[in-house]
Amino acid sequence: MAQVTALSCPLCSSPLQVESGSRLAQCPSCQASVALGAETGFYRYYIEPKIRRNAALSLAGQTTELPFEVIAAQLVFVPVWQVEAEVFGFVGGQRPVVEKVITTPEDDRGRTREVRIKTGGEVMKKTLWLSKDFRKLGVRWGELGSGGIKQKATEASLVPEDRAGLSRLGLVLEPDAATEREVMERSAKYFRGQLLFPYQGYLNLISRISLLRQRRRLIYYPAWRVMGFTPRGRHYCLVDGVDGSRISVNSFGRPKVAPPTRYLTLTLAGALALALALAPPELKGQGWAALLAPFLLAGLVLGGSALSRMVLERLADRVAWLIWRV
Amino acid sequence: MVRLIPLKCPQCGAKLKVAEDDVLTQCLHCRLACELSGDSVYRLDQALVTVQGQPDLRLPLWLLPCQAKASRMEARAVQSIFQSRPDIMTPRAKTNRETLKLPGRVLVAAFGTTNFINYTGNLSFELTNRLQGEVSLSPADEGVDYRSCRYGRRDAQGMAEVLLTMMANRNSPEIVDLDLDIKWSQPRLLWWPFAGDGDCWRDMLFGQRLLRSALG
Repeated sequence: MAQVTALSCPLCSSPLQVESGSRLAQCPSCQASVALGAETGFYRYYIEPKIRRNAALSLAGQTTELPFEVIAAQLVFVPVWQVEAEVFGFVGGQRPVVEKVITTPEDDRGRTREVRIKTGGEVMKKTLWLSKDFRKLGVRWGELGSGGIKQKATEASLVPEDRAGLSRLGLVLEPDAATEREVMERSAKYFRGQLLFPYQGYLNLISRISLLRQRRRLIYYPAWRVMGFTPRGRHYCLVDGVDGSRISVNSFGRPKVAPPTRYLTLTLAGALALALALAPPELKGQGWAALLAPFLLAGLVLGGSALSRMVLERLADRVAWLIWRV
Repeated sequence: MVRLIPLKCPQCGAKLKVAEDDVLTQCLHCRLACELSGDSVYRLDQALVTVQGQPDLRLPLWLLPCQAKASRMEARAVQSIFQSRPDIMTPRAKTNRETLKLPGRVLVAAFGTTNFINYTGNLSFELTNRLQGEVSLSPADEGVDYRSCRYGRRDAQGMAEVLLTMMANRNSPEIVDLDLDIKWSQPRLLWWPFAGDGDCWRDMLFGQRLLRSALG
């Protein structure tokens, strides 16, 4: 797979060396350190696809036992947000009060007593620290599944992203509604939740957190989207572009043709009978064909609506198949 | 295209050699100490804390002068666990903005430790509490290890906000929820002296200890 990022030193134009996920590049020639620019604090990287087109088609074919005819396969880059941070915070509150009922042992007369004891209520004021990693898919797309990509995206080797070069490799999905600011707010909420989780139920709970050594990244993860047909209908498959695993498979059967309903038949028959009864004598003299023509047209329109879905889908499938064959 | 920014010394413009996790560096040409933040390079204001005797180790701490005021404050009295009867009123909190004492400068440990709470958070808290008057300073020389600095000035400000909240709560018997309005002045990196003491490093000003193995 062609590499999209060939960074060269802005001082001496020699090729730069960048470690995975690094914010700095080193020039082995002039010994300069070069910082990678971050848009709104997020460094952009991509993961180099390891699966080639033919391998992706073969893997997609293995997702069904039926003969699979491919009509299109496209490499897409899925955006994943990542915020790494150390969370340092102060938490204050009062331990919840729990009331317990304890039964005393039998005394010399064989009697027992129930004693109510309250525990808790201690004041807690402490500092907390933890290191966490927040990840979020940048697009809402049902085929991506529950988030295996999020996990893999942060473990693979990250290469600085060159948008122009990456778009030559495949379709780059830009993050949708979740803007950088929204991601920052969500990550802060996540980190706060992680820190305060053990203190749910505390009384008068207060907190203040700070995020230290934040690393914000936008990672583009490769996946092959393969579309085609089986004898049963359309078959879509999303294949992981790094390890070739199956992300999702969707099959759509051909729609069955709905026969004209009895209501439609009855309506048409009723309309015909009414027309015959009310038709003027001069029209009747012109023959049955003229009389039936408007009703045939109406029947075509109404029947066509029932058949349109099947007809259009078959037509679209056929056109796509023909284009692919050509 | 990826935007590439060569890192240069803010004083002489020479190229800087920086590793990935470095926060501080020194210009190899003019020996100026610099702080890195993202793709920016700042001139570092630093000093050695002088004490009697020769320290075995110097560790970096940020001295952050600040004017902190509570823009919103709510003190919550501690509820008694015996308060089941509605006729017993919860006592009113006594802490208010006038009685709230916040320090005018915060010391924040800038080095990395294996146990953040014990050796970064608590040490910063104790040193800030004990810091009274001026410490004796001298210009920083070559005898410091810039790679021991893990947290930059922005991280230090965030840590200081948490420590100020903690101090407001430690000085009050109630639970104090507050929003702080802080005006920061120019921060300075102090190289704090430590002496060896068994398996610990002992702070040579206030006697705070730090486990040797905690420095990783």
